[in-house]
Amino acid sequence: MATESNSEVEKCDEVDRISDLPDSLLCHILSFLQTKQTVATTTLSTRWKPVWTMVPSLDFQDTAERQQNQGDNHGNNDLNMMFTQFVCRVLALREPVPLKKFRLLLNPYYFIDPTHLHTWISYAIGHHVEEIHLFRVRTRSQPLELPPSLFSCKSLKTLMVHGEIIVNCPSSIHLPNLLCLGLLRIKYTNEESFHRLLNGSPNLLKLIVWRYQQDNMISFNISHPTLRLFFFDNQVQDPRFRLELNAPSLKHLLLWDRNCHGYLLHNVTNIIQANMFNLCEHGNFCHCILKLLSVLPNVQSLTLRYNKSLGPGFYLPMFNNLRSLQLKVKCCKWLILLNLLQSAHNLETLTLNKMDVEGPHESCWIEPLQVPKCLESRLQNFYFVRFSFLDHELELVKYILKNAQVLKTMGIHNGVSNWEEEFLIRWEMLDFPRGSLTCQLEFLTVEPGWICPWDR
Amino acid sequence: MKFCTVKQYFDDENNNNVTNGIATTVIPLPNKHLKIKANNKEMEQYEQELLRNVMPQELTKLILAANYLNFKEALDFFCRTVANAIQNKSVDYVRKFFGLESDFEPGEEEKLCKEFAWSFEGVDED
Repeated sequence: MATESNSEVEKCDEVDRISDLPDSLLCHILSFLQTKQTVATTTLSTRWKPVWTMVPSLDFQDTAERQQNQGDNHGNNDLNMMFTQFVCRVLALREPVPLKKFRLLLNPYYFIDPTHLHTWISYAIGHHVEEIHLFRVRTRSQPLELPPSLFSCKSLKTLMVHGEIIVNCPSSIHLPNLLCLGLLRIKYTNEESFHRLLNGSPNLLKLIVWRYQQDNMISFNISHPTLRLFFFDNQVQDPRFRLELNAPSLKHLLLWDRNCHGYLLHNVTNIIQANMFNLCEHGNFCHCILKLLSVLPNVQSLTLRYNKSLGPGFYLPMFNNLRSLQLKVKCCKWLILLNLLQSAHNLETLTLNKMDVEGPHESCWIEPLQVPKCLESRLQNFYFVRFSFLDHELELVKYILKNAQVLKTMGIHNGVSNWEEEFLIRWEMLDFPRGSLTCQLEFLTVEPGWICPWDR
Repeated sequence: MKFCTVKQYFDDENNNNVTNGIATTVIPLPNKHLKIKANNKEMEQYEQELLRNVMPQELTKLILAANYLNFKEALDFFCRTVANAIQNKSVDYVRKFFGLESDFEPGEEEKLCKEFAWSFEGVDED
């Protein structure tokens, strides 16, 4: 008898509870899903039928893998039409509730119609949108212009645009609440357009600019009082290129460039984190990198990546606040390490991240005459990525193990696949004298991860 | 945590959702959250655990509790957990997960599927 009544009770508990939640909470759940999914809930039951129309965000992601020539299933044209129809219908049937986020992540085979883009963006603007994300915009002919009304959208906090877009910023621009701006691989009608956009966003915190093609810009003048993060990825080779940066509030700087000349940074002493990826090959490379480093006296975390070899015997400023340093360099090209160790007395974490294990191999470690101060009292973590068991690499490891008095972790990541050699050397390393009693020697199999720098 | 609301929550006799079980899960949350907020992996594990131990019905009560207590992080966390559980799943799966039954007129469901065709393109069947 007891089991029977139990199963009765269980049956009662099986009754749908989620649908008992008020519309606002169901919408909150759905707001974490793509629109493709939220609209599908309309077929769950009659109670669920209208819920999707009140979700305060729209996230259209057309990421399904397609082939150049679709087989027996829907052809690319059919799929594109289905997508367009879907978006139009959703916008037509949606309740007139505010829209916090509008995202379009388009399929590589989808070519957007300019009138559709205008209508859809205008819809978002008309519903007090706070975030607009447009990714992989492709057109059949000219790059698309964004609707002028976008540039006076008072509610806009984030704007990320990527693809075949051209920014023609009107003089009436006013984006008082824009905090994050991403201009990824797009073009500008002229230099004035870019600068108008920047000046028309007085409270901007994050600026991300990726240049992969000629975009009608030669000189960038980035003068902004509130900017906190600037990520500039420049893949365009142009000897006329200039970038002048004047940003007293800047804390995070990411500069990825093939042209290391042409940069003029002033008033950036508040930078605490800098990532400089410099793949330039020309002669003045050394001078440029030093010029950049000299304007970062207060930096706390520095990542430097370069291809050419930086020789010794040049003057490095002191980096008294540098706590974390990562060098991403080709094999045997880390001669600068010695200078950095001597300039950064308070260094706590050091990562030597080799990009490859290619030769020709030449020594780049010279034992310093005096033990660097950071080793004596500060260095806690040292990571060596793609260690290839070269003599000078072993010397470095030995030196640090011996002299780093407060070292907690040394992580060695193997860059070669000769297991025998690795085993023998690991064995040998365990015997190296250690200056720090608490030091753990770890052999990593996975590269320490790289966190997306602008998710802060 | 807003302690006055918590006290009110327990004192409120009209609130039928008060059970000891819910209270013991929600109340220790702030500390757990602060601890694991920084670590994404741990969050994922906690989420998996939550799904395994807590039936969808219990999750509903947690959502209501978090909403009543005005505890935004917990509310977002629980809602996101439900969302992740039904992400990319077919309508039948979601119905089973929520313990729902379709109460549409015959033919109405097909009409909706046709109207929003792209929504049902390429969804995995569980």
